[in-house]
Amino acid sequence: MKKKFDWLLVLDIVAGVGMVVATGLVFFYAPMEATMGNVQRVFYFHVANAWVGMLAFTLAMISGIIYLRNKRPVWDIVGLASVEVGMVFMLIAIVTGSIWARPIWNTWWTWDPRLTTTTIMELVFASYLLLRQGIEEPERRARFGAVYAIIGFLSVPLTFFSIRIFRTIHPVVVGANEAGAQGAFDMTPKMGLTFAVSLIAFTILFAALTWHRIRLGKRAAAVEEQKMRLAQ
Amino acid sequence: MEGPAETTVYMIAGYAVIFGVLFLYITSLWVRHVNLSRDEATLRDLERDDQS
Amino acid sequence: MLLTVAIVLPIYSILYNLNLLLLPLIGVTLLASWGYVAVGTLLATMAVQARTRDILLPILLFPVVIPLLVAAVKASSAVLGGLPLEELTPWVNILIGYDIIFTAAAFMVFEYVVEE
Repeated sequence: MKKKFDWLLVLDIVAGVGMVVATGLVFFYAPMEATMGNVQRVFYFHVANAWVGMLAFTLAMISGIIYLRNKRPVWDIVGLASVEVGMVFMLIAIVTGSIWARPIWNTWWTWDPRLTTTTIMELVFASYLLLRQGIEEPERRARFGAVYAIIGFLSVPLTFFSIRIFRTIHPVVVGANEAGAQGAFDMTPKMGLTFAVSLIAFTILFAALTWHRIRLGKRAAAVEEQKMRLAQ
Repeated sequence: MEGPAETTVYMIAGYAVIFGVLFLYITSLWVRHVNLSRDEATLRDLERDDQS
Repeated sequence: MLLTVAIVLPIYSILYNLNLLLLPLIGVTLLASWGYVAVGTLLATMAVQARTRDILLPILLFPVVIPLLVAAVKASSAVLGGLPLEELTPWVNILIGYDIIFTAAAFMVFEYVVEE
């Protein structure tokens, strides 16, 4: 459309390269973990996805607050974009966690506080999308969406602190593990590097995808507006 | 100490999910992009017809 | 909102008084109902303005009140099971934290839900 230099294209390329590098490190550079075997390699992208999901939902809440303050439609588009992208990443985090848990915890799923609260978070934002579906008028949809994103996000600190407040079997990456944690391991420097690169790669990928989704949202809004104009 | 557990299948499943879901999402973005472009073109045509 | 509290709380109290008259239990129910009312009122106000209002309220409410329900159930069973105080405190802390956070949030955003 525009002939202007497109920074998003640059970001796409960086994200693509980052993902290739991260994947390469995970499979060919990081050593095999001594007891868990190859499934431990899921951990790098599992945590990266969960981190990015958190980031996305945080962004959704922040755009909700900004929208309520200045009522500019663009912040509604940003909010919706980050919720959508966040749900994709969080879903991946939950499913990969489950796959990892099967051989390590001997179960696909357990109602561990952290697992439970992560699931609740996913449900909250599924409800967010359903709420938006139920409201026709764009201004009210944006307003209610923003309110629900803020309210829904308040379940996130519960997710984060649950691992420390309650006894849990979910291992923590940063800080000391509780005695009951199963599947914890010490990272070697090579593992640490792989982990850091995975986090960065996914953060860039998140930025690129969200940006694309925001652009799409803006165009969709413009098309809607034009349709309304023509209908009159 | 026993050696590493044989869990390669789970690793493959995990990465299949990661790349599969990402691929699906990017495809959905692409499909929406194509549909929007079509809508935009249709609207442009309509507007031109209105003016003439 | 206060009216809802006034209606809901006696019913809750009566239900629980039938079982056992315990001060900590009433405290737990009070805390839990408070949080429930704070969130419920806000979300109900949004839900009634939507097209799919019949199914929307439970969908909106359910994920947000789960931490409250879990904490309330755990705290109640700790009281009824006569567990030591340190078993009870973390759950009561969650309840109090939930109440404070969601009451404050509800008051801050409520004006955006009712404005036209």
